[in-house]
Amino acid sequence: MKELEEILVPFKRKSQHTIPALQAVQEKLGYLPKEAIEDVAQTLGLPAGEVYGVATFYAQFRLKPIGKHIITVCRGTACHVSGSLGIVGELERILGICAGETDEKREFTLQTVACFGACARAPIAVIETLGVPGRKVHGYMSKVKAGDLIDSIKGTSTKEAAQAV
Amino acid sequence: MTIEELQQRAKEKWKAIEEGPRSLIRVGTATCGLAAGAAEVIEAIEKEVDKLDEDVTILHVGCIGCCYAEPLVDIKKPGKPRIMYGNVTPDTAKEIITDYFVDNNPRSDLAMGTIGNGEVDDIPTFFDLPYYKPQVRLITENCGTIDPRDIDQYIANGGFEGLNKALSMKPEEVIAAVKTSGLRGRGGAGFPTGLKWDFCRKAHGSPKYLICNADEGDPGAFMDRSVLEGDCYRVLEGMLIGGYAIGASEGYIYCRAEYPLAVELIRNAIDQMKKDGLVGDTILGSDFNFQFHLFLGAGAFVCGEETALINSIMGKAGRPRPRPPFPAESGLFGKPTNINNVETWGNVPWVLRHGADAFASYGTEKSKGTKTLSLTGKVQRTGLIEVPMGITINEIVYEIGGGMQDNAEFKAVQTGGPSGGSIPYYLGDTPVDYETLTALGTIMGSGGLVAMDDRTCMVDMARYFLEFTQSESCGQCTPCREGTKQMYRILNRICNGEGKPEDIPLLKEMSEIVIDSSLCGLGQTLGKTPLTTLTYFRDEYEAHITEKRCPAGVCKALISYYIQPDRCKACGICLKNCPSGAITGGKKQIHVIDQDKCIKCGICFDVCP
Repeated sequence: MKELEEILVPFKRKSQHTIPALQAVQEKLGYLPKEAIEDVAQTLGLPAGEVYGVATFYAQFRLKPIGKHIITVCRGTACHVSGSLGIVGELERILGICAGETDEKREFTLQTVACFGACARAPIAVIETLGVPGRKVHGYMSKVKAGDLIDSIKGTSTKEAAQAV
Repeated sequence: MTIEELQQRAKEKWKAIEEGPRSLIRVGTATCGLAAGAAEVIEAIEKEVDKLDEDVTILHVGCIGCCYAEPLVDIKKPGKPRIMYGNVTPDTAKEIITDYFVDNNPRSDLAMGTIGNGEVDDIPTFFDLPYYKPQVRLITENCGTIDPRDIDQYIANGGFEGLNKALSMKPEEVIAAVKTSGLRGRGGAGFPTGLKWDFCRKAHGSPKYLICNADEGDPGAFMDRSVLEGDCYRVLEGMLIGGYAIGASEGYIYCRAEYPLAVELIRNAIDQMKKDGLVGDTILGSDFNFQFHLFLGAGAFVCGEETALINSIMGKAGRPRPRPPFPAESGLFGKPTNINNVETWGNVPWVLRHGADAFASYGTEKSKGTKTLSLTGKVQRTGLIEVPMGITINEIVYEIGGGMQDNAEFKAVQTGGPSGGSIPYYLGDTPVDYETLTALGTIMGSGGLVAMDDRTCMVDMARYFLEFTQSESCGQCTPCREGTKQMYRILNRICNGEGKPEDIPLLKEMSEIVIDSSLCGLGQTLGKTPLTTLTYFRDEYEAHITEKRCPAGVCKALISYYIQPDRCKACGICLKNCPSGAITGGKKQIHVIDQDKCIKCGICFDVCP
């Protein structure tokens, strides 16, 4: 893939570069399409199957495209005790997708993380928006707040759409 | 540069910050602070400060530990102690700044405590608050005080003194000092650190490598994140001391990618240390050379296991391998390797600087020093705490944590995350040290401590951990891969009200088999949660199985939501919020839930005033 040529330059033919190379590609494309895995394999001089094996082993790597807004709900112990499973369920219901999926319009991706490490303010949800640097961390979440959050995002996205028109 | 030159530069700068004519505002901007809205608070402070006649310095610091009170802002006027304010919002920040700077009213009603010499009105001393009184802050001494982006602030507070001292000793003497201190691995297993270093020093092969395990994967644990975000230099200094003692010249920091702020700070710290000659060749004028590499994990819990982590750095899937050979003999790239976790490395500079005996004066006979714990769950005050080894569970839960939220009953604590187990309330006098926790069927672990109340279902808790471990099992050895699946299935069945009496002995047997026959630490410990909950909370399992009842009211299949007619005020809030339209009722009419439509989401219960 043409857009990968530049970012793969620092990775030499060493197997120890597999994970950093895949991280760099995902950072650029948002996910790892088949062609990108082949490119990484070629750059590192490894069989594509081996790189694919690494890509599927680690939770960080995505093989499918993601939505504009990525909502990550923490499923750490403290979050679980404070009801994060219910928040996941509520978001699944509102968005009509299961955790780990992206909606058809590619507006939202819903995912969970094993632990986000901000346990003292559990339950935690994190929102990232493609093209916007940084991420917004929301503490003390609840099912009701989760619904409000989606409403506010949808509100801004319709506003943006209106501005674009 | 020599240490004296560095110290002179740093101390002058620190003196200007601390004792200069400008006031100083510190804001906690670690991940916990940001989750609480610290970014908005800073914005408000900057706007307000612009309006003042005087110049004010704003420092972004790490977390001082009381995450429950974030966002935290502390203000120090020249010649006065620092005043810490908790739960600051953009609005209260504005008020505090106007009142304190313009009207000289320190707003004692909003203050938590003072830090440093002197008194301000009737504000208590911060570190005498019940949350801090039992704590001993060694590794976290700088967290919340220094800017983790400025190496000079670390140096001015004793940074690299430990390294300087180590470089004046023989490597064997450094190892002997670490042995005398009694420091043990803080990642969970508690292996004596000095002994581990000694093995690696004596191992044949070169080069030798060091690894810092910053892949803090236990759900419910954030000690390492807090240390890295508050004072990452300390961890790097510990690795330099270790490198000198062991004879290694390269160190890898394996940090999980879920901690982007920690990653950014480590990168920045290494760059600054390079500029000051603390990384590279002839460090501090000695003949010791050292290089750091930062490696980002990609989200696999099993990579906390040392051999899996090594495989991961080598670009492979993070699957553990049998030991021996131990990494000390054959680790990264087949060379002798010493792995310690963030907290272990972070303790080393303190040991060197203050002496092994000073460190060993804290703690119990076999567990020396302090332990950082992330106190979370249903206690009133949650956050990062650092306590001397041997403190009891009750002291942590009641004194530091302030007891349970909403006057609920304390039921149990989970230590050690998915590798640990639960300790019931009636064993609250248990001291926290390696041996005692192991004897109770759990482990110290890396330091997660989740407090649970009577509204936490212990069967659901066990199911939760099994769901986690079965998805994180790397899959290469059968007992772990298949065993966790089956155990999860049994626990699911019990939570869904489909459990059978024979499930209890079966679950116990399977837990024991997986513990005995798995290859790595993940499989060898994951059975502790079902086993301890079966030991201490068997009655809850039996209630689920025989009475089809979840005593804590957590397991969805076993609960129904009804509106109590005598308490319903017909306010309509639940009706408006019900996502499935299951609630009917009108003005001055008691509301009713249609059980066929109810999806048991619990929102009505949450919103009911």
